Amino acid sequence: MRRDEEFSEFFTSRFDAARRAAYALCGNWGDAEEIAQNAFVRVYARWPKVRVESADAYLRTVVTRLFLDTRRRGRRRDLSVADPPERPVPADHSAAEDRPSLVRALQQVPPRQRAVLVLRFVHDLSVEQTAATLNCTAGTVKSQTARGLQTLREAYGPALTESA
Amino acid sequence: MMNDDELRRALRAELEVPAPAARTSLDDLLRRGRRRVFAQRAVAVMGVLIAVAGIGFGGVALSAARRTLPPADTVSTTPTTTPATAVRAEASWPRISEPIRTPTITLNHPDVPPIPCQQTGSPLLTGWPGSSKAPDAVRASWERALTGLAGKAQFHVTQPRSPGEREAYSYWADVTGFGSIWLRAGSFTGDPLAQADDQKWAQGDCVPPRRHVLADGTVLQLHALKEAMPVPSLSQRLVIYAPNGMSYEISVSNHSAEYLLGPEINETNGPSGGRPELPLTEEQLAGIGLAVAESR
Repeated sequence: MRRDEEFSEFFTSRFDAARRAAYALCGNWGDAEEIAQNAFVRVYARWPKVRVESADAYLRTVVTRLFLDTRRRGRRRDLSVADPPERPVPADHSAAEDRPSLVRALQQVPPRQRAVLVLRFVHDLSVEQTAATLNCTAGTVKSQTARGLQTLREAYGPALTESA
Repeated sequence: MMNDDELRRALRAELEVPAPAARTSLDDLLRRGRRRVFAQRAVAVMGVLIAVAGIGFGGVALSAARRTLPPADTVSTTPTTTPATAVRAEASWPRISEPIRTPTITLNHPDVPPIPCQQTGSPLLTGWPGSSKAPDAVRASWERALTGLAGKAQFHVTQPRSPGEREAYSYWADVTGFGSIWLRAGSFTGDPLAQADDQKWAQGDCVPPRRHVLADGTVLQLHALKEAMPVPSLSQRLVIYAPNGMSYEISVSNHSAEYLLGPEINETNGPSGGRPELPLTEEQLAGIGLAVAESR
């Protein structure tokens, strides 16, 4: 089936990146895997209508919206994977363990502002592209960026320069 | 000091840490995807059947209760004005005198929701919908009007979770399944009509909004129905601009706030995430707006 073949290729090449993007948003590998899974299920369902050149943008939008919805609901759902997620591979933190973590500090930022920061600084989207992804105005993106950076600065410790 | 580029590099570097092995198998994912496609098709077939039945009933009802109504798309340079005590407004409020716009980008896929038109107007850096607590009288009138129209409504309040949170002070009601009606209060400075003008294209509408002005200067602006992504959904909103500088956004969605990740909902309700249509007609939304506007 052509649909499955194309989608399989897309899944293989994008799943890890989608999972990492979700991890930046939620700070938890288990939740990140769940968000990425659900996002790919939705992409599969719309695959014939998702143009090849817009598939990445669509996947990014779905991941972001799914993350926001989990936070909007205010509760975490049980994982639907067959096996529990593995514990994270212990990273070599010997050199960095005393250094504050930006991803950890990012979790102190309110979800919608966090989504804006991730879209702009991790995915490197413009203000307009971020606004389109979140279905809001460019002005809202700018204000959310400013507020998010302020909260991130307070949570991270080292001073971050103002940006919007 | 860390500037934007350094922040970008630092964030990306942290995301390159070794991750736990992924537990998602392609086979499982394809199976779930196929189930979802099947559910969507089943819903689409049901939707067609319901639409056919609805057209039949509608035709009978229309022929039985034909009445003279002003043209729906009347374009007028002067908004209608009624006393603040008017009982009910028609959804045939005239559209503002502006041409229908076209998006700068178009997609060739007929099933992809239309691209919004250009967003213009002042960004709501303060006073955005949800930034203020709705007065008790306003909330009570919204609940009364909604209960009268929608019947089984369950009301909820989303409390502010942190300063600046977009969803602060959202009042929403689930109605008859997977539809919801929201009330959010905000504020603005200046004249209500000028504010309504400024915000007429703020959400990228292509069709000019309908407008109704009360005798005390309150402006009700009813925006066109909108399709949204990533999960196709419908919504429509009405914004009230009051002379005291308060604004009230009443929006209608064809899904509840709970639908996106609920597997039991997703698998059975398909692509719309909820109802195939909005839970209220445009006329009913206008009626709720008028009731709220008059309760201040």
